[in-house]
Amino acid sequence: MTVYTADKTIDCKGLACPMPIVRTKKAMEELTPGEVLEVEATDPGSMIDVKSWATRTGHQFLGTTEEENVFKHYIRKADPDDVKLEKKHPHVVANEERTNQ
Amino acid sequence: MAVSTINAKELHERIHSENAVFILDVRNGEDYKDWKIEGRKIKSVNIPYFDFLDDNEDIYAGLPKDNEIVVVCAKGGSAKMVAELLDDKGYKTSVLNEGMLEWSQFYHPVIVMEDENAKIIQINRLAKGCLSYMIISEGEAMVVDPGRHIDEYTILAKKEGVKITNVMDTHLHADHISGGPQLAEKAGAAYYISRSEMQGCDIAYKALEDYEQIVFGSVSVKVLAVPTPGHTPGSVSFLVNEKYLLSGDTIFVGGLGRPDLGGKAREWAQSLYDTVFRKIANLSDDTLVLPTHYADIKEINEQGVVGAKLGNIRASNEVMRTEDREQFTEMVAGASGATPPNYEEIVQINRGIAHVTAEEATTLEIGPNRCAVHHS
Repeated sequence: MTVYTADKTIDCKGLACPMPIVRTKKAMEELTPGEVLEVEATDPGSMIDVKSWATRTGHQFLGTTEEENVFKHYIRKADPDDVKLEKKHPHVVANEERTNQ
Repeated sequence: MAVSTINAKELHERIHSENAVFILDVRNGEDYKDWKIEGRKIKSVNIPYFDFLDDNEDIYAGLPKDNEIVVVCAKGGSAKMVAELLDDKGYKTSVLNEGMLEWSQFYHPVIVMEDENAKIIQINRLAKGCLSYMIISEGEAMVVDPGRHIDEYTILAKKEGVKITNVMDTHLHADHISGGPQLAEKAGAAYYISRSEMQGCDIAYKALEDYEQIVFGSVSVKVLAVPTPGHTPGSVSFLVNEKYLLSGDTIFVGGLGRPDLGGKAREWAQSLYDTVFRKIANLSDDTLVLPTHYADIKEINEQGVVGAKLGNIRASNEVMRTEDREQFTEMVAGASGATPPNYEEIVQINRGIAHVTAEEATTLEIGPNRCAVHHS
């Protein structure tokens, strides 16, 4: 029983580091923002790596389930437009200056 | 250019050569923060391998073009990938073959003392900060606190031309799996540990409570068991030739053992107090303390040995001079920090109650040692 509904599943069972992440990255590129990827892996190291990778790349790591030594990691693809970067405007006026004008 | 592969022994030799070693650790940040390869001349940088999957040139900024980069990961796979990427870009790289997995199983023997009658070798498992000992006399050897890679000891004994006749554990270890029972069985030696540590388990052992001293070798190398509770209720130290104190997890170069792993920190802190101010108090300042663990590479001396004169330890550790029982208890019981990973399972294995495969044992043991009390 899984708590997450996946739009796509990739099989990384039996694969050692770095392959689960290499495949995860590739699969994520094919998803549309908001969709959820399920990564099946047997390498215990994949748990923390998938989480770290997702966090660093801005995707949403949803969680991991484990059943009979198979880990299932769930990641929701982020919308690049969702990432709220601080916008730098080249011409700014401070409030005080404004009232003086 | 090609990526070369090095093993843990070669890496250790490089760390102790004249030149600085540049290590690029490509594990995730959390694992790196938890434990890494350390050394005085090591420059270590952490960039997770998955950062190299994007064509982000910025991450190469801190990497040296002229020096070799030793790439390290958990088991070797990711390090190879990164090393090849770097190699394509013109960097000189090598890979620690099986990464931290291999590093965690590397043991390095150093001679502590040697005279015509006896020899003491300290065997340093660097990644864990675990120390074990081989005491040699007249063709016989006693091994104290062996790790579970028992071949390290049988090979060393063979090299020294001695037979292992006694195997001891100073206490029931909580941070690593003991090789004691297996080594004793393989070598046909006796295995000693405190009875109070082993109640209700079926490992064959001789109870240290029954021996005031153990003599081996035709020349008398005296091993005196000083019962030093404190760390765990049945923890002992061994005083070799009245001069060398194999202190187990009781006294370290940098401090005292932690009393909290049995869940009765205050009670055990009391016994640790008695150890320090009653049992150990009578020993001369010249006694060389040789512990089972160290917490910092700074504890390794010029000779390559982790050890210090009891007088120096007394002088540099405030808690060792804190004769007020209440205050001592507060300092020791209150300053223990994070517990060793998986320590409850490891204790069950060392008691012979739980059994694991070699692979499971490796996973359980991975990570740094956390048995010393840090008074920082």
